Amino acid sequence: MKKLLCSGALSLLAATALHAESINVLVEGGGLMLQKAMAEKFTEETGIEVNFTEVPYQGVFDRLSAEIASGASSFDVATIDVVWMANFAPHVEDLTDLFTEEVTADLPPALLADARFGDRFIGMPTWANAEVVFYRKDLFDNPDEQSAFAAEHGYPLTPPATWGQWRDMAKFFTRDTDGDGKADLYGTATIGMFSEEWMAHVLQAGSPGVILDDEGSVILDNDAHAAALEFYRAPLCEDGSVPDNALEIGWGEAQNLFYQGQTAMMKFWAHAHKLTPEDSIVEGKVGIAPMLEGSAGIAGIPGPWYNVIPSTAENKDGARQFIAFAIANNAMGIEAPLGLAATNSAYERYMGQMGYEHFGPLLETLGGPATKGRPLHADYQELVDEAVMPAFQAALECDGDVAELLAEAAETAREILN
Amino acid sequence: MAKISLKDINKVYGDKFHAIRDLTFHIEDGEFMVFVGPSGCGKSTALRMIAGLEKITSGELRIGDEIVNDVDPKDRDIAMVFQSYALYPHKTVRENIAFPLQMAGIPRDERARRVTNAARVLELTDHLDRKPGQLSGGQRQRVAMGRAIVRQPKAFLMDEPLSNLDAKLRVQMRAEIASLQRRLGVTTIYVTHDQVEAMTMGDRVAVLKAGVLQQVDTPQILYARPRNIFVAAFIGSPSMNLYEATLDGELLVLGEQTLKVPSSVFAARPAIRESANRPVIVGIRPEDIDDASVTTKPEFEEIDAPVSLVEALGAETMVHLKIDAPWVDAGDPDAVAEIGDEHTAVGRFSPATSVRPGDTARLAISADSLHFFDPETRVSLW
Amino acid sequence: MAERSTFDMGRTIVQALALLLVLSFAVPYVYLVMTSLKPAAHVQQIPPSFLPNRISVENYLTVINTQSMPRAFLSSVAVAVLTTILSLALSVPAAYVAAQYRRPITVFFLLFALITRMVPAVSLGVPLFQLLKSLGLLDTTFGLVLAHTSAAVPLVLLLLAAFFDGLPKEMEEAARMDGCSRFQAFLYIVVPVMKSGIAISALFAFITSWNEFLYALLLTSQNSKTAPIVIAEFNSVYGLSWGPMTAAAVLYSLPVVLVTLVLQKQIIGGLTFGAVKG
Ligand SMILES: Nc1ncnc2c1ncn2[C@@H]1O[C@H](COP(=O)(O)OP(=O)(O)OP(=O)(O)O)[C@@H](O)[C@H]1O
Ligand SMILES: [Mg+2]
Repeated sequence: MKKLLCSGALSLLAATALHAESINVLVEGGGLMLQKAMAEKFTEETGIEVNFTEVPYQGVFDRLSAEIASGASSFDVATIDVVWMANFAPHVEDLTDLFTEEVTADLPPALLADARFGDRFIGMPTWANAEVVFYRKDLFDNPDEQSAFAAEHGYPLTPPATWGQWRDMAKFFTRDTDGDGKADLYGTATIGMFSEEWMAHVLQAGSPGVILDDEGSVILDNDAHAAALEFYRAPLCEDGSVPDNALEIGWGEAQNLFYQGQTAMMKFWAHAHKLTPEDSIVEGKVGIAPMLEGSAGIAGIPGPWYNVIPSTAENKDGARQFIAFAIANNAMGIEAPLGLAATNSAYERYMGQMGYEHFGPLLETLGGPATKGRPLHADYQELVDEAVMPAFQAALECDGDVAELLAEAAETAREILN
Repeated sequence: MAKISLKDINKVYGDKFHAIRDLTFHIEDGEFMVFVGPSGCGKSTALRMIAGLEKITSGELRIGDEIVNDVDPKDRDIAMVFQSYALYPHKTVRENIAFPLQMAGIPRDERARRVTNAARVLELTDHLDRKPGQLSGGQRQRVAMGRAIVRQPKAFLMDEPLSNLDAKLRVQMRAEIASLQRRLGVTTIYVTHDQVEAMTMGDRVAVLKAGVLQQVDTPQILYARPRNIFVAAFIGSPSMNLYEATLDGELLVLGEQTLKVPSSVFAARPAIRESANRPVIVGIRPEDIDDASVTTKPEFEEIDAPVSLVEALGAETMVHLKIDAPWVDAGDPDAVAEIGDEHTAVGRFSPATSVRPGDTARLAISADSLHFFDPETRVSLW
Repeated sequence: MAERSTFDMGRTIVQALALLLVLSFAVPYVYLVMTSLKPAAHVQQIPPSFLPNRISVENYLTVINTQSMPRAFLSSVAVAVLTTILSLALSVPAAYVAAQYRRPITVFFLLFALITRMVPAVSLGVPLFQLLKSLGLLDTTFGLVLAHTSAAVPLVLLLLAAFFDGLPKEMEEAARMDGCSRFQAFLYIVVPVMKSGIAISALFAFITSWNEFLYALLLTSQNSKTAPIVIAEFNSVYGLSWGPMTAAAVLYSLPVVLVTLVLQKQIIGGLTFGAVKG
């Protein structure tokens, strides 16, 4: 009898040993890259294994929704895009206790704002990104270009900082270098597939928010939205300083055009600075400046990702430990190929080092006076797809009155919200 | 080889349609039995019940001495030739013919020997390595036969095996199948709706109508002594001409005309002897009607009838005649003797006749071959 | 003479149209192949170029050298092959019986199969997730095979039922008269005769599983993740890797091309099916 009990206890022990504590983390490709090294260290220190499940971008949303709906999640932590925060808010754990004074002091206000839903903190920032200005140093530093530009515009050629400079420089660099009658170098490219860049301009123009104000009223039809859209389409519709297939251009396309030396400037997510392909003709010649400023000063749209704990998680305790560890070791992500982090201290530690020239402009943009997150609203994606994009893309057809298009969009937005 | 007997066999499809009714008969060992009847009368159904492909609703089926109602087809040891041949398209002729042997577990050498034999008998030797798709209709038919004869089953069942062939090939194969069956001596049931096939091939013929057996007999008896007007009309081509008439003593009153019935007829059919003003259905076979002016018949009665159509076939001339008595419908859908709305009688005239449509012909009727049926029961009067 | 030349004219037009049709199918694929052969930096260009200005296998090397792709590829092969086998094993007998022994219940059965195809797959995702979770089959090859089989069976069943509908009932009957049990008749005669239809159905089952995305996304994590998920992962928010993505897509299409070539004879036979009477 005793023997039996003993062997029973033994096998129980063996089972727990075999079944070492672990957490499952749902990530997109970026989240995996940025958190892998940190997770290894976490396992080393706590003995808790971290199993990452990588899925495509949209898969994060679909998978997590399905699991939450089924009431039986296999994930203890999910790293999600800020745009989904509102959708998952009712289904994730309260993380307020992890936002110690030390943590909150080290995070840009815009990231803190988006981490909060109602009176709770529901997501811990993992890294943040924003669009900054990329320019070709070989062109901007060239004395011939500098003198030609100064002669034409009456001010020196420096990295663009204002809307006016941006348009002037884009026009200036648009040219036909091989004399075949068609432009082969453009000033920049207008992205027609996504509207985030325009949203940054909306904030620069002094709008209290994009699409919605803090009370949740639709402000798509205010002057700042219209002014920003006029500015956004000007290179395409008035200046001829961008390729004319704007509606076919998304992030990847804009990025590739720049790498191929077909555009002189781009507004792009800061992380790309580290990812310039080695065989690109602009490799080593890329300069970075903060996002443009408008009447309200510099403003960017932050692209932060957050760690959340689904309410269906099985190992919530392990998940909390992981998230606390992640923010404390936030700087480790910077060594990863994407090279991004969330905290000021992480960025500051690398500032000024070779290869991290983008951190200054990125921090300046994230901390810009008018920088603000997109509305945290469960219908945000629908508002963008149904109200914003039709007006935005119609405006990029170049005919049509911007104010009228936005008025219609605002109408649609109000219908969606009611 | 075995005898087959059916006792009170019924087939009801889906609780409603009574396809076969109380079918009872007996097929001797080695006999060639033909099922004949109009389309839809239940021939295939009866055959498929014997094959085991169709469940028997009630009754008792014996093959040999064994009751086989619930025996699986594969265990009945019967070969069947389908109307569509149902050759296996993915197998060569050789493999098709060998298949039943293979299933029976016959060793390879023996199989090859028997396939070679069957192929020789059926003149398929040169085509053994072809696929069915590469054969003519007649060749496919022979492969189907080959698949049946290659093993020595207790019986052959054939469901209209010749109906997909052209007329000439059909006549040829008809003879070949009949002689093959005699040579092999295997009990055979052969389904056809062609009464010529039935008469030429069968030892005995079973006539079916609407699921009910009408008569089983040798072809000669079916022809000479049909039991009812359906069999009378169905057997023989063209069909027997049937009219309502009155029998008064020894005189037959057919419309406006009369003919004298010979005493030999009364001797053979006591049932009609000494009737006075008795309504009957009279049947006259086309071969018992000729042109009186040229006939070689030794004895005949004469009546007149207008000619509506003349078909000269060479050895004989079919003449369509308007007889002014009420025409009788025997219920045989295949018997077509209609021109327009009019039912006509058909006479098989000797080719020397010179009648034309529109003429009124003087007919020579072989009165000793007249058939008589009861107008109520439609059964032959003997 | 004149007649002959108009005849040739008509023929030429028909052939030109046929060629056009083939091209319209082929161009996107050829473009995909071309893109995959461009050096990563040249994938997007203004104006776009069809031919690579320099052939490069860089994208292919990138894909092959990732950790995830070769593994996912093997997983896809295993899942698709097993799904095909399981779907056929279930559907071939079912479709045969449904087509050859038609009863009200079999018609209902086939209609029901059709209905399952009308429900959006998403709505079945959550219940499937719960089911596999309770069976402990999440993130296993077998679990995904079950999910894919549930998607492939209705399609394959309907396809096969249509093929079997064209098979004369006498084929089985003849075999039974020749000494087969029902099952032997099915196995030795019906299945070989229907091999074209079965081959086409197999191809469909294979492709259904091979290209399936949603169930693979929801039901796998690390162990049995399939290639479509990994290919989609190239499309990260932080830069669309067009080059490697197209290379992965081309590599991923090869097995289907291969299977199609291997089954070519059966497939053509199946498409022109109808001459069973032979
Ligand atoms: N499976 C079935 N279900 C219901 N009725 C059937 C079935 N098979 C046959 N029948 C009916 O039974 C009757 C007899 O059919 P059967 O096939 O035996 O006719 P047949 O004499 O062979 O005709 P044919 O000369 O046209 O082949 C027909 O009226 C047919 O419609
Ligand atoms: Mg029949």
